[in-house]
Amino acid sequence: MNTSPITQWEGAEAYFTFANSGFGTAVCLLASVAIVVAAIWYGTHHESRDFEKFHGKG
Amino acid sequence: MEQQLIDLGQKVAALEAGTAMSNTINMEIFYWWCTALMITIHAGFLAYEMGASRAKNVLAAGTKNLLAFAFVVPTFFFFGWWIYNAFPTGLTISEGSEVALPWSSAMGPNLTDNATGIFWAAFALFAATTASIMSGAVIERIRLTAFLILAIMLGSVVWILGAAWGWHPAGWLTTEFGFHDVGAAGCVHLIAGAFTLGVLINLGPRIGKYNADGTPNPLKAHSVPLTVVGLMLIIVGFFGFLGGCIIYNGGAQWTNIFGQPATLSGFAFNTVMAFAGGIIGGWVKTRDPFWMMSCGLVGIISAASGLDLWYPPLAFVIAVVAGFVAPMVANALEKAGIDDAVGAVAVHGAGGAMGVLAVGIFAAGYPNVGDMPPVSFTGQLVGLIVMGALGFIPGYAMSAVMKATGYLRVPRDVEIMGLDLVEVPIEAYPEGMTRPAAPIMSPIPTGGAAAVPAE
Repeated sequence: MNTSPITQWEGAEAYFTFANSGFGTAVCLLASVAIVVAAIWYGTHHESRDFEKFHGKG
Repeated sequence: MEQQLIDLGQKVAALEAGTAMSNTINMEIFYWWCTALMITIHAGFLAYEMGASRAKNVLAAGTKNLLAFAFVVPTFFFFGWWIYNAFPTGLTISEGSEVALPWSSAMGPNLTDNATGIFWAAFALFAATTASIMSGAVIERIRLTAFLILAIMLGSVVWILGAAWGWHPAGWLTTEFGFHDVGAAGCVHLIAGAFTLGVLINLGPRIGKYNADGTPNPLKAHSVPLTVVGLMLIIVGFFGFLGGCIIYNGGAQWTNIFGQPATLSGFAFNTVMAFAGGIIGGWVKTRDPFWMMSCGLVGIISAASGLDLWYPPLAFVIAVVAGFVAPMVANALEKAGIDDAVGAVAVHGAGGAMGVLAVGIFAAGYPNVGDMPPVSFTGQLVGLIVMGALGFIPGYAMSAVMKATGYLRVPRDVEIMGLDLVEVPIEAYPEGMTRPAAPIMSPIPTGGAAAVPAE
């Protein structure tokens, strides 16, 4: 996958992957946000399950 | 002759360009290492918090601390940095703040921008530090994910809004009131302490902390040495934190974050003197090494707002007083039913408040730059009230909602059994923790190798 926004270093400014692709940066950013939200959701679910398992043992 | 002048001009231009680039790169290097040192604050908080836990909660406390860092950093990228750039004038969005949005060309490797990344990273570490201040206070009973949501709110929204208002060259507290807080005693420590107090009110004390008549019981740290070493690591990291509070201007004098001339040398005088003063204040008051180190931190925080201004013995005196007072604040909070496991509200909240006020009492009249008002007691008092409210209200409100929905605290039986057993897949001390039933008396060596204590 060619994600480079530049073809030469002379005159280069923002050169990070997808710097010239709004779609690419949007996908990466949204994926990052989704991971953070999903991780907290997963953590909540995991905690609740652990508490229930512990109650079951008790 | 003419050609020689042209050559000389070209050489001067090349020399100027080289010097400018060296200055730029030196600036990057300076903040890079400040940021690296700030990681030590997190190592310290980790050790401190785990040590302060009872053995049954050690790893849960450590997990919580690590995740606070991990969740604050990306959320600070998503919206924290933009908040700092967008809201210095209040709650209206400032022009030009779009460069701090996460999809901006400045928010990634860019050959024409050596500053944004290094400042973002330093501020992200300030953010994670702010969230970690709350982390230790709520150990052993807060639900992990509830804490993470509160940490994101504190680290990526609340403190950075306070920083935009009072720790920014165009912040309205400075432009309207001359608020002076170079070392972030207000926006980091006071806000974190006030936010934590709001959370603690709703979270309630740990089971066993209070008797039926309301008298408190000590819930002892499982490793005081670990907490003391952790506190010392925090102090080391503070040199990165405070270094990050001064602006490197290549080829010109340093300035503080408000644009006033300053020196790192001045910071050095007062940081070290205040650290020493805080320890002495804590020692005189408590003779307890945990509090002596905590008060060393209080000493630095109480001198932080005027770190660029103090005559060093005055910083020392302020720190001694703050170090003496902080344990009294912690004691009063404990008597009032607030179970703050590490004294974060007293150390950071009260320490930050004392720091902000100290500038109003002892440094009123220092000039500002441009047409901004000079330092004044009124300006510092306004800053203290704004920062206190900005921290307390969201901390209290969010935790009240979490409490009402049953999301804030772990179930009672889980808390009694210990969070490590229920939530963490490994054991902190798989071979057990043992202590002697009676003091071990080593025989006095009569020569040769030292005697080995009996098992």
